[in-house]
Amino acid sequence: MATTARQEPVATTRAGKRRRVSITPYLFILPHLLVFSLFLGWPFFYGLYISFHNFDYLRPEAQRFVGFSNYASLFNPASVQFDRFWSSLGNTLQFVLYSVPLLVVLPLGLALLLNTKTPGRNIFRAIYFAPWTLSVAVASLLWWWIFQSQGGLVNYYLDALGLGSPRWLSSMPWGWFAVVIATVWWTAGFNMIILLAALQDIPAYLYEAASIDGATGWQAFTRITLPMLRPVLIFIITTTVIASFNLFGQPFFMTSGGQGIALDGGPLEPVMLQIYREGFVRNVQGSASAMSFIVASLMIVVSYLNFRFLRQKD
Amino acid sequence: MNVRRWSLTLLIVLVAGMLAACGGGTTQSGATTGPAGGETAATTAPVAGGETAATAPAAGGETAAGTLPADCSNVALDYWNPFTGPDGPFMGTLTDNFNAANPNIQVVMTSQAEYYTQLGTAAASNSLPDVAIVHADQVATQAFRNVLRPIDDLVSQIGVSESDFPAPVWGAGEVAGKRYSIPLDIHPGVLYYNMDLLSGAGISAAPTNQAEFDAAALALTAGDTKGFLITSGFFSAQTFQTLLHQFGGSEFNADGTAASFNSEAGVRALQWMQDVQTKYGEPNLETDAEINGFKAGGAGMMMNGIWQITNVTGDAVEFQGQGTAVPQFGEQPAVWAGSHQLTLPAQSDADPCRDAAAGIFIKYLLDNSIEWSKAGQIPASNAVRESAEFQALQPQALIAPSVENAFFPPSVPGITDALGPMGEAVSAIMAGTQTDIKAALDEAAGRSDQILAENKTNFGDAPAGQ
Repeated sequence: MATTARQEPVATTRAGKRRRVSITPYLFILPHLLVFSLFLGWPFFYGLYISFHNFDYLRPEAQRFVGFSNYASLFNPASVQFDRFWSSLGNTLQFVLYSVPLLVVLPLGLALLLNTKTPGRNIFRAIYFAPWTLSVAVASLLWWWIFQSQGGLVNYYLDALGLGSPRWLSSMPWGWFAVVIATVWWTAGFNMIILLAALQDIPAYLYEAASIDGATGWQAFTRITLPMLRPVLIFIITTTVIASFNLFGQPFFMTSGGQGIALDGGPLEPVMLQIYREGFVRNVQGSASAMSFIVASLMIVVSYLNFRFLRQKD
Repeated sequence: MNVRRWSLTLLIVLVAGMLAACGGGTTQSGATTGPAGGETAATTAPVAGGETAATAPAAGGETAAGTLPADCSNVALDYWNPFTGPDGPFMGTLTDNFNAANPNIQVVMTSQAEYYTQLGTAAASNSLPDVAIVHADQVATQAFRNVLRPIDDLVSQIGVSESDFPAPVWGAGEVAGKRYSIPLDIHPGVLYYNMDLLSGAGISAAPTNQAEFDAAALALTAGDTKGFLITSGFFSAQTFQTLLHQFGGSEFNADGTAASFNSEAGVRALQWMQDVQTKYGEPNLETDAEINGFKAGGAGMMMNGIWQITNVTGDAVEFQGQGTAVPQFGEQPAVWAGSHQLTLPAQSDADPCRDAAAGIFIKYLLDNSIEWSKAGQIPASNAVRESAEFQALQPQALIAPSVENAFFPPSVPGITDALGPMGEAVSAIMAGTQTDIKAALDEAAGRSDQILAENKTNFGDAPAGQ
């Protein structure tokens, strides 16, 4: 019966159990814990502190405690911040709604296609993943050129076909099309790779058993693939929602630095850009910090709901 | 196995290529913009704003121009500016010339975008440069935020005074009774026109008033060509301000405590812009679309900053592209202008040697601003503007007289925030998302007033500790 690697002579005669607590795991996570505390933990609490003050980091002499006043003015319709904050938050929520389904369904479709034995699938995998390696500025600039209303690639062909030239970057709803298309092109690859890895983890015998039982492809998909992918889907959806909430670069660069429809209070201004303007252009970091906390709370709620609805029902 | 090896090699080559491309100083690709309300050098082609590395300083003391105090050894100065557009390399040349002429003062120039955020974070970490360019409408804000220090002494030391510059641009550098900056240049709005299209329509000279402008724009609006392009993004606010002043109004009252751009003059100005867009232009264009359209030869005229001169005139375009002073559409001559001002940022350990060197560098820039004007800037210095060399520089010399009619916002901290709502209202009307001009301007003025009031409480009357 003995399966332990080594026999401890004392273990069998002692009355109680001896537990050895190893500190090795803690040493492994210590470096990350230090970095986390320094770059995420401390700023979090300092940001909370800042949100209760009138704060300008270059004017410490003007700093004063204002309690919940920064939060209150975000809920007070008469203040200047109210309109800007809630309209930009609405814009970001719209973007989340438009982009997350696309960023889950499309990569899933691509992953399913790449999970077959077609020749050259590695090349396709590289092609679909490649945009994700670009920085946001490069990806946005590419699409800025493509969506130019006067002479951009898309409008050039639309014009040639006699379909007019929509203002992709200066009118709505075209602005959303431009930003969502650019974002999906840019980040679908990442979700695709993760889903592909998860697909390859699904045991083949499940599909074999299903085909023996006479299941159609669609039934195999909904009864085997999706349930087996559930934990990965939770992860993908959560990270994609969080990333979409952090929308900043694409509308900023594609409107030449937050001009036109991405101006203050504009229909394409995401909440992160509004927070940036509040903190670094208007230099009222207390108010910007309060905005960040409200957005963060909202993201926590959304993530929690995501987990609750999608988790395994054991 | 072969495919594997091949793809691995390709991957290594790609990664190596990407890493190589990541090298370099503060580069900026694509269109750049400053904070809302400030001016920008919007570009259509990616321009790398790099550093001008200091050449090795010669051993020992003699300088060709300006002398450091005897006990100062070689000095290295940091010089920051936001010139990431087509004008950047011209300032680089000027800096290189200074370095060559002054072996014991070496200046390292850095151009970057998101300029005021950069200045702010540098101030927080006490790593501000020795000399910095600041836009005229930002001087008060940066002074109150302790980014800049007063330079009254430096001004008298290098021998510049009020009489050397036009009054409005000199006044922009005075904040709360102290001098914080010296004007280097004035960059007004300019009317760019396609001379080939104009002469094709039988017009031999650029328009100088409303009637000539209408005639030219109407004649040119035919088929695919547009007479005058205007956007709903950048430079629409500045165009609005130009017309507002020409029709007798102003953005704020004299001491900057209330917004006044929703006056009748303001409504007239925005109505003018809307009409021009309907009659001669394309509706709802995004920022830089008018530049792209003009460069492609599809537009007769457009208005933008003088800094675009090297981008849309002369050798940069295939047709005869030219620039001229903005016509006088209203009762008064007026033109929106920005100005780059030279400042000394705050230092926790001010070193008299570096200060003296900075003074010499600033004087050199002022005296040699003819070089800078080749980038499409107009020198603020009266002496340089009146010099024969500048008078020979076209079209800058032709546009130069208009800077006498330039206006600047009041030197009140946070004034660019208060200009924000005005820009948004203009954008909304030009994009068509709002149609009631009076209502849009009134609502914007209300928000502007709120911001002005908040700034007054926030900033007080004078920068702290000065």
